[in-house]
Formats: sequence, structure tokens, C-alpha cells
Amino acid sequence: MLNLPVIKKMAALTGLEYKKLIRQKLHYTGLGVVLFFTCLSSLGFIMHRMRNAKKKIEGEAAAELLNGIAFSMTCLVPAIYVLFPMIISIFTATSMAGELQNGQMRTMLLRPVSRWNVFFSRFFMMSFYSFFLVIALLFVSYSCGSVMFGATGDVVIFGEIFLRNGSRYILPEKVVFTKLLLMYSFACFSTIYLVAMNMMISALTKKVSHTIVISLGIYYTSYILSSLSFMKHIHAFLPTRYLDIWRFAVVRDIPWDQLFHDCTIDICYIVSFLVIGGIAFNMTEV
Amino acid sequence: MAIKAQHITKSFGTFKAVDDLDLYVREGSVHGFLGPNGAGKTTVIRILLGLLSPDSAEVEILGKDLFMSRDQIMSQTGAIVEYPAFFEYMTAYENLYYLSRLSGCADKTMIEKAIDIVGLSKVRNKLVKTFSYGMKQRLGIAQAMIPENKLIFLDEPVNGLDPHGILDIRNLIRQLSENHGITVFLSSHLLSEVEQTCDYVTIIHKGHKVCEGKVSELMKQHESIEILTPDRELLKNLFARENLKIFTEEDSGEYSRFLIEGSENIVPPLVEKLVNNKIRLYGIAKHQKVLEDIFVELTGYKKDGGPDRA
Repeated sequence: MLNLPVIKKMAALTGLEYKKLIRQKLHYTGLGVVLFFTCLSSLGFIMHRMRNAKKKIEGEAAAELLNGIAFSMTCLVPAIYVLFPMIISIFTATSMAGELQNGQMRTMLLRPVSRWNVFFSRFFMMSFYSFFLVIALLFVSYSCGSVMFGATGDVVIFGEIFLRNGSRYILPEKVVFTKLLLMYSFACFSTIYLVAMNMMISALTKKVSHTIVISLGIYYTSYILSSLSFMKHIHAFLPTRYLDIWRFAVVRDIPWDQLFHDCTIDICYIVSFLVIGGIAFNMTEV
Repeated sequence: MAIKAQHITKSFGTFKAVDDLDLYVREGSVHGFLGPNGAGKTTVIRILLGLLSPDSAEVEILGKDLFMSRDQIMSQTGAIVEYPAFFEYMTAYENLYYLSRLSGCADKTMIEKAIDIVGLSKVRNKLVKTFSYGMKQRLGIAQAMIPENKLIFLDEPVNGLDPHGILDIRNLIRQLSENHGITVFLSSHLLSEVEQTCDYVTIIHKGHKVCEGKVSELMKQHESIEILTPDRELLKNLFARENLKIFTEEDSGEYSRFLIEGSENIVPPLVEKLVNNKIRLYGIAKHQKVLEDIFVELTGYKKDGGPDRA
């Protein structure tokens, strides 16, 4: 049985969060960063293509392999590792911890709304915003890449960029578009993890600066340590260990078992973050 | 009773901010909540609004238990606590609209009426970040009014307002109570405002209630006699012999001013006693204490703002 008053409250809260997102022009900010990043990336791509015009990779002309799809896939890598975690951390911290600090949260909690509803409506809206960033990057990068380098073709996968190994192979044209969409879909899932983690840290620290420093500190430290081979004994315990599931999309034969395993662990992390964050927020003295 | 609260206790670490406080607020009244800085007023208000968990408390608001039915209570209650905080990138109207939606009722007519009452009609479509502090305060009162709340908590509502604004808010509060039967629970440092606005008052000090009652009766209970005399020591000796209580004593160089316990009936025999004891009198009259005097007396603070170390 659907609880109509709760649904109405969630709709009201979500509507408020959406209005705040639009009014703060966060979508412009995110889009602006994505555009700037894509422009820089396209410049790099063009120069790389020019310098390797006569080279062949696996028997195919390098220029043909560096097409719009390859460009869009390549753009996602630094974005999902560096750019999006930073944007998500700052905006989630501002939304959650910032409103706790500045008093707007108190104004909202003086209304007959459950703190769980407030917490989850904010989580949904920040997740929606993170999807917007990922989809915006897909759209912008593929559009630019298609215009500059051609819409499709075979794609060379450099292991050092995508898979953190030394492999190199070519994906055929007939599968690359599907792989591109899968890659970005899995990246959307990864951003939910980042939103949940930032929501939890916001609820625990209740301060914008602390949230940003702690969440990005944990995130980047984990990635740095995961790249150090002499730290391999702690790799399994690092919070970001199972986060880059989007890499599986570019593997020739997607290891679905491994993907399912990593997704399950990520979902456990997300649920834990949300439960801890929700409880902390409920106990917060406003 | 609009509010029936008993045994409110709250500590922050080892510091006891509120200690076994009872509070009763009549429906339809304007109830003032007074205390010096750090007395625990805002802490009590936050507990009553469910923003803060007490160590212990039994609280009933509008006939419902606060801890079991907070949502139902808050659907009929509005409040400003500390300072009014809004979403500054939204307009005044938008803030009120979305906040009232959270109460389950976004009536545009009601919102327009609230904006008119607080005098913000001309700026309803301006971003809140362009508002002065006084305008935000007015907007805070508007949001406390909607949608048709039966009980309103106002924590220092006239802060930042000019004299016209203070007068408007005073009239508004009286109007809410008299014309609409809304209970207003008002905390303020402006004792003259509480005296003119409130029907009842509760005074707290260091987390304890020191006084509670109808404002008019409280002032009647604290009638005193003012005596101006240069013979300070003679008068003090006489009062010690006669067991007469001295409330306050001020020395202005030429003479001393005493406020003593008693009503106007004791003036004639008192004058006789003073004259018989050769105590020179510059003046003797009934003194009607204002709330500030009562507040100072009960909380031990001097009029110049410092604590009374006597």
C-alpha cells in the first residue's frame, strides 16, 4: 500500500531540491566544466592524431582508430577519476553541510518533514545531478569527437589508460557504440557511490570544508595507494578498490561475474554510507 | 494549554544548560520568555521544536506528545529560531511557497496575505540575498505564520528592526493573538517590548525558572516605595530594626535612592517614622516597577548590564 502523505512530502522535497539546483545554476557550472574539459581534451587528441598520422596500430592506421567513440571513451577516464569526484564532493558538501552550517536546514526542519525524507531527497537530487554530469560529458564529447574525428570506427584500447595494465587491442566497430554506452552507464553507477560517501561525511562533520577535505582525501589517497605495487597487501581494503567498474565495459569479453561481484560490494558500501549518514543526520542537533 | 512542558533538562557535556524547567503556555495568549544571555532560552525553544534532544522532558504541545507526534504538531506550528535563514538565491515568494509545500499546503492566497501583513509585498519577487536583515526578519515571521499555524515561536523577532518595524511587529503579534486566536511564544531581550506585547511571562536564569505569571499581576506584586535621602546609614539602620526589605540602593553623590518593599499604603506611617528618626527626605513615592526592574531583581543583573556582585 502506498503511503500518500509520505509520497507527497518526498515530491515536495524533491521539487525544492530541483528548484535549488536550477536556481544556483549548478547545471551551468557542471556543463561549463565539462565543455572546458572536452575542449582541452579535443586539442590533445587532435595533436596526438596529427603526430601519429602515419603510424599503424595492430595493422590499422592510427588516425582511423582515434575516432569520436575513442575520444568519448578517453574523455571519461580523467573525468571519472578526478573531475567528477571533485565536483560531486564540493556540491554535495555545500548542499548538505553548507545548509546545516548556514541555518537553511533548520528552517526546513521546522516544517513537518522527516529527517530521513530530507536526507534521501537530497541524495536523489545529487545523484540526478551526477548523472547529468556524466550524460553531459557523453553528449558533448561524442558530438565534438564525431565532428572532428568521425562518428564511429574501430577503437584501440590502450591498457595503460583504461585497464591499468600494458595491454593493447582493437574493438571492432560493430560493438564500440554499445561499449561506449555501457561504459558511461557504469560510470553513472560509480557516481552514486561518491554521492553517498559525501552525504555520509557531510552528516558526520556538518562542515563544508571538513567534508570536502575528508572525502577527497579518502578518495585520492585510496587511488594513489592502489597504484603503488608495494602497497598491494592493502589494496583489497581501499574504499575505491571496486569503484571503477566502468573499465569492464571496454574489455573484449565483459567479465560479468567480476562485474556483478564488484557491483555488489559497491552497493553494500552505498547502503552503509546512507545508513550511517542518515542516522548521523537524525541525531544532529540543529 | 498550548504548551505543557515538565522537567526539561539538557546538558552540553558537563554544562547544564536547562535544569528541570517547567513551562505552561495558555492557548491564545502571547507568552514572553525572558532571561539574560546564556540563560537557556534558545535551548528550550529548540527542544520544544524538536530540533534538539533533551536529557529528559515531558512535552505536550497543542494536546499532543512532542516525541510521538512531532509531524502533526509542526503542521500547526511555525517558528523563527535564532536568525531567519532562507535560500538566498530564491525569491521571497518562492521561499514561502516551497516551505509551505513541505507543510502539505501551498495556498497562494495565504502566502500573498502573509507577505502583505509583514510589509514585503513590493519585494516579493526579489531574491532574498538582496534583503536587509530587517526584511529577512519580516520574511521569517511570514514563514512562521503559514499555513494557518495555531502556535508560533518567535525567538528575538524584532532584532534588527527600526522603531517603526518594532511597532509593526508588536501590533502584528497582538493581532495574531486577539483576532486569530494564535498562541505566540516570544523570547526577547527587549523587556519593554515583552511588557507591552505579552500577556504572560516566564523568566529563566541559568537554566532555572525564577518567575512565571501574568505580566500585570507580576508588576502589581512588585510594587515598591522609592525614597530619596542623604542619610543613607540612618535609613539602613532603621530598616534593619523595622525588618523592612530594601530591593535596591543607588548612590548618586548628593543623596541615595532606595527602593523598598511595600505598597502605597505604607507611605504615611513610613514618613512619620523617617521624620521621627531625623532622616532627611528629598522624596518618597510609590514606584511601579517595570518588567526590567523585576527582571534585574530576579536574575541579579545590574541595570548597566553587568552581573550584580552584591
